[in-house]
Amino acid sequence: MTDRHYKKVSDIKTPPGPVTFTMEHSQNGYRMNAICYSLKQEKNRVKFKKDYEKYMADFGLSEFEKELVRSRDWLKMIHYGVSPYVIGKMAQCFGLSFIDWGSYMRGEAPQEFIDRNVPLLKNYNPEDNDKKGEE
Amino acid sequence: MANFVGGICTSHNGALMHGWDKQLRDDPIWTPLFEGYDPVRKWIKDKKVDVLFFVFNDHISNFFFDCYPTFAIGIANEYEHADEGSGPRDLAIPYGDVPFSRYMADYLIRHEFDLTVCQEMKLDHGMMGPAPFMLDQPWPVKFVPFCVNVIQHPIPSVKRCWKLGQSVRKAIEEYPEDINVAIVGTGGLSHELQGTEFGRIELDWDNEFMDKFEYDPVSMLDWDVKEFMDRGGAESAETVMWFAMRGAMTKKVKRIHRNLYRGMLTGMGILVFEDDE
Ligand SMILES: [Fe+2]
Repeated sequence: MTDRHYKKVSDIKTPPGPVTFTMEHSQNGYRMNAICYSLKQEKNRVKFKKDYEKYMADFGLSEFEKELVRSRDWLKMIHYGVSPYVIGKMAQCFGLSFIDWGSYMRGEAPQEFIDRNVPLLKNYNPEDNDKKGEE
Repeated sequence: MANFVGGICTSHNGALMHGWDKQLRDDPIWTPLFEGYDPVRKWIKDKKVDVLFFVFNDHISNFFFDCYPTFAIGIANEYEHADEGSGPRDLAIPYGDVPFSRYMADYLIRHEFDLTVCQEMKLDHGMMGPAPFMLDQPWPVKFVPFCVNVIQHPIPSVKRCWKLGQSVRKAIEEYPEDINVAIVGTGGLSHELQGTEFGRIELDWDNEFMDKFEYDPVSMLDWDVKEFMDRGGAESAETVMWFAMRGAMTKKVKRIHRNLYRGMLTGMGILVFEDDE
């Protein structure tokens, strides 16, 4: 077992920028990823939403891991080793969308994020790009 | 002998599932993207493609971290759709070409690619995100799903994926049956789905990348994956899978189609190439 020497959730550092998910993250976050993965199933989400303390206890999370879930600090979870491809299922159980927990990591309100990122409504294919291609 | 007809590259993301399942073609946000795939659909039809060799990654839908393969190939007759949280999707059953899939696994393993061979595979948005945009249903083609680990580092290098493409090409050309095969590389382009820069998109880089990828892919073969992550965001590491398609093609290619769209969270590219040599 690896534990990265974390004693408290507050020990998890969250430097700016992304996390490169390595084997070390994967091993640290193994049980956290497993519980998130279990929440891909609706029947488990129902149980989690009803009483997530019980769900975590039944799942056998450590005190540290339970504390991490209670914190709902998605940025710390990511830095600890929770994969972005499963974390959303837990966030969803707390009523949060992808944009909600994503903008939380940015320290931004979801609507701010959405307003800045509206799709362009057109394809980005300047014909100029073709000049090298075909003459 | 089998006929290699060309290659397709496409981004894949969860949004594609949403857009397709809700049939959002007429939503102005979605129209350009749907239209971006129309020429791909036409090309696959015109070329009478029988089999798509589909290079993609699983997003913890079929594999979990208990056992996460670096390269895995499906050899099944039939595949299931993954449940990514809303139940399995209502899409046609994807069928495999068993003799061809086994042949490909056999060839690649004999040629230095040590694959995990799968008799069951639940296909997630890595493959079934773009597939319904590119193909009618029931599917007019059979599939060979080929998974690459691009989410737990270290992941295969650009050059490794390129060489994979080269071997896939050779294998196809030595296959004794008269079938038309195309290769699909998926993933990317720019996106970053975690950390303080969640949502980062680099559309100018995506555009530049698509140029380089078409005219001078060799210049990127020695790039570390980190180079892509720095330029296009952490999750654009999966762009390495595009090189499997490019490695299967001739150095100079004929571009049939190119499209780039800025989604909410992803720079979404589409390419169709044929050989030009
Ligand atoms: Fe992906």
